[in-house]
Amino acid sequence: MVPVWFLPKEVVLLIISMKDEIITLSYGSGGKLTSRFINDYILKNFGNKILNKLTDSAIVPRKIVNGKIAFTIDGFTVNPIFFPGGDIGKLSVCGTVNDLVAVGAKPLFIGCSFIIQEGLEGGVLRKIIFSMRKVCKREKVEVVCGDTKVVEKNACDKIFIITSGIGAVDKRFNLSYERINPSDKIIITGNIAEHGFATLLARGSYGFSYNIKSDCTPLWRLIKKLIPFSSGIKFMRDPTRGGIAAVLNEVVNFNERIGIKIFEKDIPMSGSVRSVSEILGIDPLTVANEGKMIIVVNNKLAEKVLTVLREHPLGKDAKIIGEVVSEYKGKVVLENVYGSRRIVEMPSAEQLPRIC
Amino acid sequence: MKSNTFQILSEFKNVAIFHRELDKIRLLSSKINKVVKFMEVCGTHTMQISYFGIRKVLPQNVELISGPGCPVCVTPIEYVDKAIYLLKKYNNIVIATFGDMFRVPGSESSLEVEKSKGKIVEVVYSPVEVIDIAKRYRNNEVVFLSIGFETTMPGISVLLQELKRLKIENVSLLVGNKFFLPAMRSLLNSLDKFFVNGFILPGHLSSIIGSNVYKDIVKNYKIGGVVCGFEPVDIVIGIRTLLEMIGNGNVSIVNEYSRVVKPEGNIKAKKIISRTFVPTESLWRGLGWVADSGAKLTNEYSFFDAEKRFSIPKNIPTKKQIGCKCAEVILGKIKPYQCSLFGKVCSPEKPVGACMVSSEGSCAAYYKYER
Repeated sequence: MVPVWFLPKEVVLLIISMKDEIITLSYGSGGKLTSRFINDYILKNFGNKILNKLTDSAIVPRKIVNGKIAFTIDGFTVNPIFFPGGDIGKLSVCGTVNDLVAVGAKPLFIGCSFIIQEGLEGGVLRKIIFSMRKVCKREKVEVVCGDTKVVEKNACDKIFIITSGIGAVDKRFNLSYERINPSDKIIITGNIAEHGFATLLARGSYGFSYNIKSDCTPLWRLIKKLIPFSSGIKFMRDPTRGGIAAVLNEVVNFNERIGIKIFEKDIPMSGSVRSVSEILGIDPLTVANEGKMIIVVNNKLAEKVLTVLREHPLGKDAKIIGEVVSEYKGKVVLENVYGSRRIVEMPSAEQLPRIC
Repeated sequence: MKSNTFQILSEFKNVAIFHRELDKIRLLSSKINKVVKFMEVCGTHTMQISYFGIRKVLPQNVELISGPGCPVCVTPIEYVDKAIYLLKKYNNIVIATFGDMFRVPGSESSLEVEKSKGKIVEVVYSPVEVIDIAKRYRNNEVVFLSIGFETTMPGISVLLQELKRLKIENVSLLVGNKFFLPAMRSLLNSLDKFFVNGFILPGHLSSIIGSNVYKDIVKNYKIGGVVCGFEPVDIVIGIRTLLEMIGNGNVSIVNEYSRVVKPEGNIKAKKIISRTFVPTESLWRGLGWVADSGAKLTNEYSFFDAEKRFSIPKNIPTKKQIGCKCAEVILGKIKPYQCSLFGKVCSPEKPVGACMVSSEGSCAAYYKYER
């Protein structure tokens, strides 16, 4: 037996529970096992005044949201469920938190639904819930409602998590596509494509690994620093699936008076990401991020915003990557290092393997 | 090994070298008082030229056109129809295919559509994956859609040898593989004499067949060529070399991609190809029937021939897509955007012709990067 006396209680419990417990269909049956499950797994980790009441719906005090409410929902099905830099639990909180942050809202509450495949080890589930708890605690968001279903083998893959989120929109932000105009600058808050490549390589099907960690992080701590400049910030979106290519194309699709020009030399990217994208032939612009924000900002405030971002550890690699232009209407164009340019298309379908 | 490989690669991405070559190109082209057209005959080149925007930085009198270099694009509609015929006629068929073929439209349907209707279509990255599929579908007949040039053929030959060694009998191949050189000759015969002034010759393909084989093109057609790599610097060196040939009137074959391509090619790969495949007449989209340009299985491996095993009729009536100009695009006679369907009814999301589907097709390249 490993000496465990110096470890915190949760970790000891985690080690013990990892040895035996298996989640079976009965855990989601609504009976005795379900209530034990709620106590052991949910309340022990997420317990708070609102959740502990176990009402059918969470009842949250109105005064806590003074103004407009942001409300979002997102499903997480990542494969594998553990990857360098995070796991499906951490991701399910960060993803929803960042959706709130992108509309200028301070994240407050999370609703969480687990869909678990029968046979999942209790220890695995605890580990996932533990990392959700860790993010919630640090970000001061509370899980206030939830649900658990256990399904037969093949009905899902290990575990899916759906989280909804409520946030208080900060009045000082006024974000919309319509406010975007030519000469606005486009900022990315750090190195791109890390989450997508980290999970892709973690699947192990390429027969090589690379030192790439998911950037999975909640961003309110960074974005709230921009409140003093909020008048100049026109639009934000976190470039998840489809990467920055998808987000920038969404902007020009919605607002067809404008085009976007980005500069290859300015796009921040780690050497590892550059190499892997080269080897796999996958354009890093189309690869997912989970801890980055695209910010469209008024030209005059761009440098100031950039400085503020860079002062924070989460934004230290932030860069102005391009600008909104009146030419190339409805298109995103990349100016490459060779002095030429190409279209950056909205990613479509799956990446087809090359045969020649 | 890692850092070395990337050092070499980065040299061929080097911006300063790129611009130095470009300056030479500008100087050379200014001395030539005519428009010169260089044709690339490899899908990966087509894609890279569009991706790096090389066309846009070249002088006005240097044009790059795409030839029949994408294995999916040159595969005729009849081939797709045969695969769909099998799926419809027999209910125990599993089709195994490279991803690029998955969405190519046949006369009435595509593999993607058939799959959505419940037929079994499995996408493979490498031919040997077919062995696993055969084991998984023990009670089915697995038909592998065997397409591609000499680049892909060695892998398929290995598959055939393994099938034989392991005595796996529920696999057959619908052979649509093509040999490159006969098609290139046929292309040259069909083009106006001065339509093309030089060739950017394939990199991957030449690593198998070697650079020596192109010599008779110089001899018979008086057109030079450069075997090129795929990085931006490779491609501009290729163009610069072709311009030099035109300038001094001395056409030849130059191997710019010597870090990969040997004059004699890959002898081992050629051997294994000839053990499993022999040349036969073959139908190409754009070129029509070309003698000795297709592959069929040698007698030793004819057991694995799907056409024989399932007595697929030779002439399945086809219905060509009205307005689709893939054939002209493949021969470089028109640019993708000169097809009236381009970007309107035909796009990568909803392709009408093969050149828009394939990740190496010229229409896809133009649509994605140069619209």
